[in-house]
Amino acid sequence: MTTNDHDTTNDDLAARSANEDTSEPVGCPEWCDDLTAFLYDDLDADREAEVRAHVSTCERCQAELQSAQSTTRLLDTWSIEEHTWRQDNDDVGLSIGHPKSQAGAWNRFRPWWAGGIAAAVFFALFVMIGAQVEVQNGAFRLTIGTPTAVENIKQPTGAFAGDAEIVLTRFRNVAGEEADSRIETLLNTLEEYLAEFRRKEESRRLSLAQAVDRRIHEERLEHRLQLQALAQQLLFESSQARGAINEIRTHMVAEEGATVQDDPASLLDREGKAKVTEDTTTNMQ
Amino acid sequence: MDVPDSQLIADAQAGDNAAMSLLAQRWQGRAYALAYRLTLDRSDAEDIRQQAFLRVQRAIHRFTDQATFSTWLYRIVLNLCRDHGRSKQTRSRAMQVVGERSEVCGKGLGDTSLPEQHETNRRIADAMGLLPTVIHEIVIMRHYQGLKFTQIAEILDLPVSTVKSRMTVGLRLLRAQLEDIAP
Repeated sequence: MTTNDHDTTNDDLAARSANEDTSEPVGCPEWCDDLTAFLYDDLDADREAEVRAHVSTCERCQAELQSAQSTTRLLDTWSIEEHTWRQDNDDVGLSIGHPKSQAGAWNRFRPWWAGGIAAAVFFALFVMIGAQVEVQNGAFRLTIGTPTAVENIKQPTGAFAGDAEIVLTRFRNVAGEEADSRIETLLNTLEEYLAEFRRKEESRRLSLAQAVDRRIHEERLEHRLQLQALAQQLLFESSQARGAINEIRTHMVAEEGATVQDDPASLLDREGKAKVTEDTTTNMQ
Repeated sequence: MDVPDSQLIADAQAGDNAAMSLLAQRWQGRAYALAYRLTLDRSDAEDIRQQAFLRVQRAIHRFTDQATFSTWLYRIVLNLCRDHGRSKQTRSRAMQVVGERSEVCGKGLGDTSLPEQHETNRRIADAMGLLPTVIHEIVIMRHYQGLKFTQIAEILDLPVSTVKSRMTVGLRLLRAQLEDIAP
């Protein structure tokens, strides 16, 4: 590692800081570092015996050791978040100073008051929104909001009871019609949403089908062009072959004096080739 | 009986992924704990742990027996902590965030019923964050990771006497910071 220079600088700084900041008693300089190692049980047996013997006779080092011990006891209490790996590696350094019983006590304690608070908040919300629960014919009915004015009207009595009953019935009818109207409006809105959704889906489906058709058309066109190019190439090669055949035939005629009157293209098939060979043989005879 | 690290390393060098996995499983907790104590940040520590084992996996074929696996791993973790600058950032922002960290730590252990412990956690984390890096690392490795001074000296490539000296200074600095709450 290459941190020695940097470390040395920081070490000196830290040492100076320690000497400036610390008002604690300092033990014998030649023993201090081994006192720390002694505290952490990190000395070999011989050196440990020497330190023990020295401390028993040196008040300064006793004070230093006690001071360091109280500091390490305090450090033991520093807790950090536990991690799931603790189950696999119990000595990972996350559990120092934190008995599991604390977490267990917390888990045992939490449900009681947490559940109580949740229930209280829920009840308060329930009351605030005016919710009511009724049981009708064995089924629960939840009502949110205050009851309608129509339902709160008491049954009319007296001389105008009949007229009042008529008015009340009208109110109830009006309320029912209003509710029906709202439901109908909601249903209409829902229908509109559904129609819009279907229209968009249909539009998407159509555009998708068009895209597929377009792609198929493009691929067909591409194949057709490829076939045309292939046909042209075949034609070209065919004309080259005809030229070669004519050249061969001319050469043969010149050499053998044979007269070939049929179409040179007949040489392309086996039958034609056989015919030419036969004619040539006849002429030679 | 557990397979020794040396055997796992040899198997991993031969391309045995299961051995590499077992090695990571065995050491990831310690790597995470060291990174967490140094950074005081759970997500940073998790990142550093993952990066450390990625480096281990990539370089396992170059590992030799000149150093123990733990020494190698701790060096990687310390270097990653330094590279991330988390220790310095933590120190500079310790005063601002240490309360929040301690609060999270406290809640993790459910010490909301023990406000004095919560305050102690906050003070200790604060004091740790104010230590110089070279001392902070040693205090964490010796006190919370339980490493011997010789191991720490090997990891940091320092003489054992220097490590002991820095630990002594670290304890004195912490004592000075925490004098009013020390037992």
